[in-house]
Amino acid sequence: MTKTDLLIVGGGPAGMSAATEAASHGVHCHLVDENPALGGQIYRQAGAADHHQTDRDDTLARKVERRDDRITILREASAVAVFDGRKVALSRKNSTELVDTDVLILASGAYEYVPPFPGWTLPGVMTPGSAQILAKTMGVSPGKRLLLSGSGPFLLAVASSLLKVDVEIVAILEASPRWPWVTLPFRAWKNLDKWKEGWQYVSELRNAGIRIRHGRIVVSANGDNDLTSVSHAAVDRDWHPDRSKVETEDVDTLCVGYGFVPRVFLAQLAGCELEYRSEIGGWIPRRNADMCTTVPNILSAGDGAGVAGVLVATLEGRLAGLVAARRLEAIGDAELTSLRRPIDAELKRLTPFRKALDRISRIRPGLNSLVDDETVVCRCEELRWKQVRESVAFGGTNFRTLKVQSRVGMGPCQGRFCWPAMARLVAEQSGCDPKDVGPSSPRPPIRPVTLGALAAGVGGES
Amino acid sequence: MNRHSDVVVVGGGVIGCSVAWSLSKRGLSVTLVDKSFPGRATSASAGGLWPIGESIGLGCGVIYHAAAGEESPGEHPEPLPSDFMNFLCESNNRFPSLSAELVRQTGLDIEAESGTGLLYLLFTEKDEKHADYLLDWVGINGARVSRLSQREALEKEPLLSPDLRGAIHFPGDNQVNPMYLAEALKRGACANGARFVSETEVTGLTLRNNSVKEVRTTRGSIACGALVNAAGAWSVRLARMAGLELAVYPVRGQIVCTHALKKTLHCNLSASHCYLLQKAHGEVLIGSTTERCEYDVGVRFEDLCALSAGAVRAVPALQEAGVKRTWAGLRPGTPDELPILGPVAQLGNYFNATGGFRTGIVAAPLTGEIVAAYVTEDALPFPAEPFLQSRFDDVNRDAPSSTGPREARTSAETPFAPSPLGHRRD
Amino acid sequence: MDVEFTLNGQSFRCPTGCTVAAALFLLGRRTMRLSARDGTARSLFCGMGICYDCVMRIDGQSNVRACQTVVQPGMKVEVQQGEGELGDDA
Repeated sequence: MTKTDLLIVGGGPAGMSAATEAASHGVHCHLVDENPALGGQIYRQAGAADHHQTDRDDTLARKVERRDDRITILREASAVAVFDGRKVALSRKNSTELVDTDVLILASGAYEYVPPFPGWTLPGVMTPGSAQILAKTMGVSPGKRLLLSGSGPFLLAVASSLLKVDVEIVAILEASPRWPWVTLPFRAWKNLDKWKEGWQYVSELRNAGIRIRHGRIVVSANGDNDLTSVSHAAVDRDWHPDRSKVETEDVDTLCVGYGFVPRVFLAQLAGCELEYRSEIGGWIPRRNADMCTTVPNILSAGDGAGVAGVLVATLEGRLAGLVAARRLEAIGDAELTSLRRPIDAELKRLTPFRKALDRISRIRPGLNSLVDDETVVCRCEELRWKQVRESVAFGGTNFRTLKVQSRVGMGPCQGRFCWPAMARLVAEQSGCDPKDVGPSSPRPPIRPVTLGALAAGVGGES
Repeated sequence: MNRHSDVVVVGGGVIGCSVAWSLSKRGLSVTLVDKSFPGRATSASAGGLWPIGESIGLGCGVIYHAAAGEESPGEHPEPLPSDFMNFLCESNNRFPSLSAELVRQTGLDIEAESGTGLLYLLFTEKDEKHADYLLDWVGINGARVSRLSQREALEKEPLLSPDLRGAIHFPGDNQVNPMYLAEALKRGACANGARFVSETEVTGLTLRNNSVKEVRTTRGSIACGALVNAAGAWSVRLARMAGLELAVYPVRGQIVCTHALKKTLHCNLSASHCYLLQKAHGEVLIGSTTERCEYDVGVRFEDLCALSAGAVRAVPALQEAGVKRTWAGLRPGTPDELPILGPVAQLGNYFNATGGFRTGIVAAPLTGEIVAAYVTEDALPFPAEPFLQSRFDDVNRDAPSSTGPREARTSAETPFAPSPLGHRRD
Repeated sequence: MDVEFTLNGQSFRCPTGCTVAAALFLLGRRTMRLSARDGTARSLFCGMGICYDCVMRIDGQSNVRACQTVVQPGMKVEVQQGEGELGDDA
């Protein structure tokens, strides 16, 4: 079995900074990522050489690549399970391998939160991130007439990427009202630089003639096996739509996303305790100030430990790299204390802005009212809300008990996509809190592995 | 929650649901209490209904025999008593009518397949010798099976490996969806007036005058006329609350599950290193291990690799099938692999319905009827004396046994001495 | 337009480095599979390989995520109908 000192899962901002930080103190690290190029979702790199990238995008990736003396990058490898402490199963196309590591840093990032609504499975309905990848990394337009809907500043960033391809952006629907955004600089006055960045997107979009309409959400996507129009309505402060006045817009593409959900599956498999923090994405690994989870020498950093954006991810990654270096005795306590001081200070400085943003964009219960009996709530298994409701009535109260009764979460995505939203629906139905409904229960493998690749597995004890 | 019930059934797996259903049909008030622990056998099970196959030691039997290697007592896994095989066959025969009744009553289809059959795959000379031995045994015991050549086996199951030497075909051994079976029985019981209390754990029992008077739970207490212990791998904990010993222990089984595929396998397959079956929904389930590791429901990398390798060896085309999920379940194991059903001497109104081990699913219909008959003091639909817990009561539990029936491979070093009754070829 | 591939038997080209999903979007052919139970059209949704809605039959193998697969010369792409099936070229 391969042994490593430090294994970092996820080559996004948190993973890359953990690697460079640890390497700078003499630690040998292995950095695992599923994609051929580093960068995670935010610095998604183009497959083709002739697509433009800004320098800023790949500075960190270049730093990582330059440190090939101390950082081994395992590209196109997925961490599919954690066994027995810190033995990580890595899968590549035709084989799987068990790697035993002294310190493990989980930096798997996050994925988008999309609550179910009628028509959301139609071709043409996608997450904002999906559209951004098409436009930014491949210069491909997702459609002809496009609407963005959801909450949070990511919608603006995606719209900005979409300006560079040939698509008409009809409008951006932001669920939250306008005024908290306008007053944000006053509440987050220490972070004016962040606010200015956001304002840049807004001006850019205004200049391109794109309407940003606040206090509205999409209530249905319409079409027959292909999206042709979208209906939207004004909402109250809890995001309940006013169905008496619905507008319908002819569009062929809808980008819908209400924030992000941390990918905690490896942490769960490793036995890390989770806690529920709704405003930063839901279930996150319980961590201390050292980025450590409840399992010894397993750390977690970045959006995968709580959605807080790229700057926080980069700082947390550095901190995790430092703590790992301390655990591996590459640095001492005194060094750790002094080296971490500026990182901690910067994280603290960013906190008011983050908290304010989280408050504006937090998921409100009105989204639960988007589903009707016939709405598919489990995309993989094509289950209607009506069927899930029945199972709740028959004593289904959490992921495991609902699964055996209704097949919820038994499809290819294993509840990853549907459960965060379904938990809120089930909680409302049962009159309890979403945290009482619990997270999904992942089992190996958490990424695709073929039987052949598993059959050829190496590194286990025979 | 009801403060009183004629019968409280503890354990909402397939056995508990079957008992609840059978009791509810007899007009008794039933409360079914369930705490869904991770690893409950019903949802972990692949759902094979293999009365003959399991009886003669296939499925899990031959797998743990192969795994036991040199430690195994005999050259072949020993078949289970023919009485037990008859019990399983009788239960298996009830599936078609049960399926029809349940779909009528609840609308749920338990996906009981018929006409699939089980193929025991022979790859080596050792497998072929084992086949001869099995055919002798079933010949004596009157089961209908046939020996197939490689060509005949490939006709039945075209995707089998060309390395196959032959197979034995068990036409009556089919499959069901174990979760839907339990769910349908439960909903049927509720439609007959039973109450289902979910996510509730039994915390204690109130005993008086050699009876269970009350079941105390995390959601309040229920006064009861009788108690049925259907708590599977956890039934020994409940038994201890009643001051009873119970020869049940958890035996872990790991499963590999593929993504749903179009109809690929026509038969259920059992080889010496794994078994495979394709469910109605399209997933191929591959199992299993048999391990003594208390209540640990983790899976192990090396076991998953071994199961996958076994599957790919039997059906090479499966190598490109994606693995969707793996899991482990806890079977309620017993030293002689037979269930533990019925009354005990110490308490007048306590009944065991546990120890289903590898055959709980196929045994469920008849088990429900037998236990219900015990409770209502009616004539038993099938002889069940061999399944009483009392058969273990005079065994010295601390003495390890060097002969006798196979034991589950243990990772903890505490063998549970098997019953001296053992089992023999009749 | 640099790479040639087939979609349901028909020949098309796309720029190098495009994923199968992007190539299909360029062609305006967004349906990637038909769902198993209802036979409804599904397409690119999450774009990061988590939702499995974009799976297609690619080079004889089912359940391959179009958003994670870069088009290679001569690639055979087919709309997947329902569940996957094991290839005949296995």
